[in-house]
Amino acid sequence: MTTNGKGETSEPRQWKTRLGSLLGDKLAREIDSFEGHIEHKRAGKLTDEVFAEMRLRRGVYGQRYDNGQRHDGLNTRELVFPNPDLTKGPGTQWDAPGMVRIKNPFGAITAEQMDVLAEVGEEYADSILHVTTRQDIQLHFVHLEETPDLMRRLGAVGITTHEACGNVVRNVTACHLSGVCNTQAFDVTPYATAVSDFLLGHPDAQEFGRKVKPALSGCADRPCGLAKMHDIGGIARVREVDGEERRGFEFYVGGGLGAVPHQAELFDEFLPEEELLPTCQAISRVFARLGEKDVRSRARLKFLVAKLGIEEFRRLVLEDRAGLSEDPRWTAFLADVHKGNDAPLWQIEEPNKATPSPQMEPWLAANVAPQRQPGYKVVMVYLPLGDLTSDQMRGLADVARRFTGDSVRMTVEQNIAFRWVRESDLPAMYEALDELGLADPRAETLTDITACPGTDTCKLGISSSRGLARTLMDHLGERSEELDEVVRGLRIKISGCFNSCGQHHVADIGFWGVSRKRNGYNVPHFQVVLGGQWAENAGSYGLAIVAVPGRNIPAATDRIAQYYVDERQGNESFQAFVTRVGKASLRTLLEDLVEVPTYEEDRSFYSNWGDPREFTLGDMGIGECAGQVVSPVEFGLQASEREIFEAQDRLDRGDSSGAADIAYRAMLIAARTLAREKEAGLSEDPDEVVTAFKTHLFDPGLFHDPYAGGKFGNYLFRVHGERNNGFVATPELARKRIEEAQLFIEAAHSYHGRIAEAVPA
Amino acid sequence: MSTQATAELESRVVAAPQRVGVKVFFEDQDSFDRDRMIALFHRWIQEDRLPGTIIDVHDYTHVPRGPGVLLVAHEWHLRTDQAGGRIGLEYELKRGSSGTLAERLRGAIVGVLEAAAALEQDTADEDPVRFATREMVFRFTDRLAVPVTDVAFEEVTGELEAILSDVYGGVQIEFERIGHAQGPLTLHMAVTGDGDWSLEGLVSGARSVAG
Repeated sequence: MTTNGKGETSEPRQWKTRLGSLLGDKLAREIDSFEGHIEHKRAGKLTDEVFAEMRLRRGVYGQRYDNGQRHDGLNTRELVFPNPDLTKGPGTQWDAPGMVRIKNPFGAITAEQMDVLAEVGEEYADSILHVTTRQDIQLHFVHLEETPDLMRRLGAVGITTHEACGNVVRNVTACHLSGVCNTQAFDVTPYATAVSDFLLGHPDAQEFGRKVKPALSGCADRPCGLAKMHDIGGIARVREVDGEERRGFEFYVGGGLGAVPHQAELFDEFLPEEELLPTCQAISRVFARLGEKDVRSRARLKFLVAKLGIEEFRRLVLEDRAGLSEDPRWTAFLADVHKGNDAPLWQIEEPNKATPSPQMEPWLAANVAPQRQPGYKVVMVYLPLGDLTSDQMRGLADVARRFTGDSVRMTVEQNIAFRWVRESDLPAMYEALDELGLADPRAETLTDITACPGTDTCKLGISSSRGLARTLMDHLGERSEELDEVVRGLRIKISGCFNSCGQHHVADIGFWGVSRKRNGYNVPHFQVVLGGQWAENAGSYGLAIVAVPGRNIPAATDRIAQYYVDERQGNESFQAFVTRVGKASLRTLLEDLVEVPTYEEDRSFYSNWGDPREFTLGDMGIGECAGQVVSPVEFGLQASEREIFEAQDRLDRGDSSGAADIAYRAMLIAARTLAREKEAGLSEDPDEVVTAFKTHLFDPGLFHDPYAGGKFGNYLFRVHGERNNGFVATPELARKRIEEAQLFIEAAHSYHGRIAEAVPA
Repeated sequence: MSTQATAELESRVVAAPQRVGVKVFFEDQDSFDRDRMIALFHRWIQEDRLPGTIIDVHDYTHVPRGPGVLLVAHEWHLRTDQAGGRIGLEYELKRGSSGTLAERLRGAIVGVLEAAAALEQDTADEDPVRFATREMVFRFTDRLAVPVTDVAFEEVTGELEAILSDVYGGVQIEFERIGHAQGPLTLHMAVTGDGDWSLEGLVSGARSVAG
């Protein structure tokens, strides 16, 4: 079915009435309730903070410029909306269009759902559907009052936006190949379904300080599941116990990217399948009880695991697990896990290998892969930057009905996989996709670039991740014939800021947006991160090399690729290559590209790719990407923490002097972030920052720790003074400085937490 | 909503839709320049070139047969649309419109013609963009108001015939339903009678019709 209008005058012209019976009582009530909250907010009966959390939990986000201001390249202009006094969150204009995130557990999607997604994309958004790196779909430029009907129409075909955002358990992701994969231990689909259903709205998973992202993977080696970079990650394992084959999971906790990436810790090398749900429940309870609530930048599960240590965290979880009352849902789903979750639309009666046309060859090589069932293939539809139109989505629904049925999954690389395609159907399917403009042979190649929304729509975006991605797609696409085979399989991933939504840490070649002051102007840059491991479930994170002006990133990419081609030893992987040649060598490779010509010489350096406006940080707003709101102070403190990560990395690689300098810079960033609250126009000059910090925060005693007094503030003054005292950074002194910088930033968080508590809501 | 619109809603299949899209085609289908269009739309924001609260410019040129460069306003979207494999300028009313179906159709026609005229004017000095004036495409994504049915097609074309007759001066016009069966009601309009129309002339006609 679709939710198309039927054209009968007797039919009500309200989706609520028309679709009510299809929703089920619970969902219908929830959406009615949300609609009621919208009316209450309009009537001034809810605070901004409360309503913001309510709408976020229904997947309704803010979007860039929703504070009613935008820099047009010349001036900051006020966006005049019809209800300027109405807000839908702190500093968020009621009428400003926003984003809606649609939750699709493990990226599964049916033809019927595709039809309705196409409809809502064109009726409520801008006719574009965006597939995310967590197998969700996002719509942009949606108006708040239209979201209840949007939810009803999705609900009528079994899709929810509930808990797609907010401090809850987010979408459960899993390999898109589950069930058809050649290397899987078993199909994790029913387990992902069970985790998703069990934790959605679960009372034990409602009091988190931050979100929790789970992921399941069918095997250890391939990258599809990315289990090790998630809060909760499971890798399918089969073990023989008492002569019987048992299923379970190599189970990880506390992974995450973000400003400070953490590799997940091994919780259990074999968690039996019947323990999956109760263990997830116990983890939720421990996290809700002990996780940080006030300081948002320390509130993810990874920080709790790091703080307690995996041994203690495990002990607490097992202790909690032991005390849980038995829930039949823990094991009810296990009765069906061996049944198989999907099947081919068409049986193969006799092998029939169709002859491909010459133009199909690149597509067959890049976008088609064998599945474990003989005679069937997985066809990957490449979506540039995860985007497709409503027309294309409708066309893909037809393709599904014709060739595969409902066995379709969105992938963490922002593509769509059609499973169970008969080999003999490949030419006809290629033709059908080509007619939709969706047969581009780029899937999972160098030019299949992942990028977060960045400055296009995200309030936290610093540099234009999508603008750069488009440029690199064109740049590398034009040279695709010349590219060496070893380079074609590399992955590029781009984030607009350090929050890692583009997953740059796990890319071969990653970039994240930063701003640098050059020649008196802010200049968009990208930090280059090399050698992240996409395989082995995001097995390791990349190495930050140097920040390069955005304009020079295409040239930097060319050089890195060529360096790998020229200097690679044998079958050396890119990760091994980066480790061997080292950071210093890579930095030298890019050294001249760091230079920025003067404004008069080349103004293009002072704009983002794809945006002719002079670059500014003035459009950044209060982010909602993590549920609730992220204040500029928290954003600044996260930036300082990112510097600490960089300093530690430098020290680990033997650069004590660089490590000490960066640790000092981290302290300055944190000090300036706080002092700027008191002195809006504060410059980045170190002397001025330290003076302002002393005047506004230290001398009045505001920054003093309740127990340690002025100890942490004094770290800054001493380190600042060491600049001109012939300080030589030995490894020991550099390590000490990093530790002091960490303590200083912790104190900054504490100060900010105290201030936040003191301000009435 | 006016009482006239209420009566209309009660007696007809088609009601007054929130969303009405109208597309006019580029004369030269190969002349599109992404960077130029992005720069131009940004300038339009600086200069308040079109009425409405214009929010931002969005680049979707990486999407095949997609919206191209999108100018987002609170009240409308304007895109260099490539749906169906032909590039044109689509203006879609989306918020805040009022009145009858006919009034909203007129408003959307004026909107697209004014935007197209502005584009022609602002590119006149170098590689001018020109628009074909003998055809348009109308798209109605508001399915509650405009169902995807033959009856709705008849009602909408009836309204459009009257409006476009004024805009084009009584010439013969043909309508064809196009697009996917599950898609929004979409129709192609072509002028079949003799005549030659400048964009400025059509804008002038549409404005007078719209009052």
